[in-house]
Amino acid sequence: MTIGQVLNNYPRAEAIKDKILSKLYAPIEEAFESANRQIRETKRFFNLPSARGLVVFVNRDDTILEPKTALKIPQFLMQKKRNQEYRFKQSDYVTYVSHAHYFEFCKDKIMPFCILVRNDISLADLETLKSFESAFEEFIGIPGNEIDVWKMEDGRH
Amino acid sequence: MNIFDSSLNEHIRKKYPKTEVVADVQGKAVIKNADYFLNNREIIAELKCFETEKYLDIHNMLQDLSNKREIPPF
Repeated sequence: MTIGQVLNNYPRAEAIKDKILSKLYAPIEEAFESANRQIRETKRFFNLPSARGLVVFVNRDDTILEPKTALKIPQFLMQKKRNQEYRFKQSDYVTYVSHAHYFEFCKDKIMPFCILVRNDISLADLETLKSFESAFEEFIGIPGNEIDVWKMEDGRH
Repeated sequence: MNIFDSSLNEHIRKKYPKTEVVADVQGKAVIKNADYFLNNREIIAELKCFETEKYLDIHNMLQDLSNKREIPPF
């Protein structure tokens, strides 16, 4: 039975769903904010003002945190603005890798891997991220899916 | 640093020469650094792992609501 079925037709269903989602989302939001700070400090310390920032979320063991759910928070935060500037402007790309979930394709297990891009991504950066995906595939020992790129500026992917 | 992070760092050092582990090059500087430089420092990457299963938290929350008869038994 799903949580939705348990709560179905109950007057406080929406409030309870919100409570559940906030429990799932809080660690992602905290991790994203912390990653943004770390990228900013590293840029400053190494004097790399034009470097792009990448946050890599790796879901190692949280089966309830499905990729689509997990990606909603960085999608929201990447677009968040303050004084007409992106609030988390150091994080240009987010990738999500899960080895708690996998697709089955022709008897193979395929690990979900996708990239969120705030504005655009150059071919060189895309190749770099693909190579980084390969590092994960080799390390974890499960092949990843063909990279799915989601652009935040207009919701395309 | 946990075992996953240190093993991944070791893997990257051996097989991905264009990727640097930031901790290897920051010297004694105390900064809240990110984890990797990719493609000759064109990209700075920070790794965040989720390792805690939330299923029990959610189940306990629903059980509590069920005990208070705010939702039906499940």
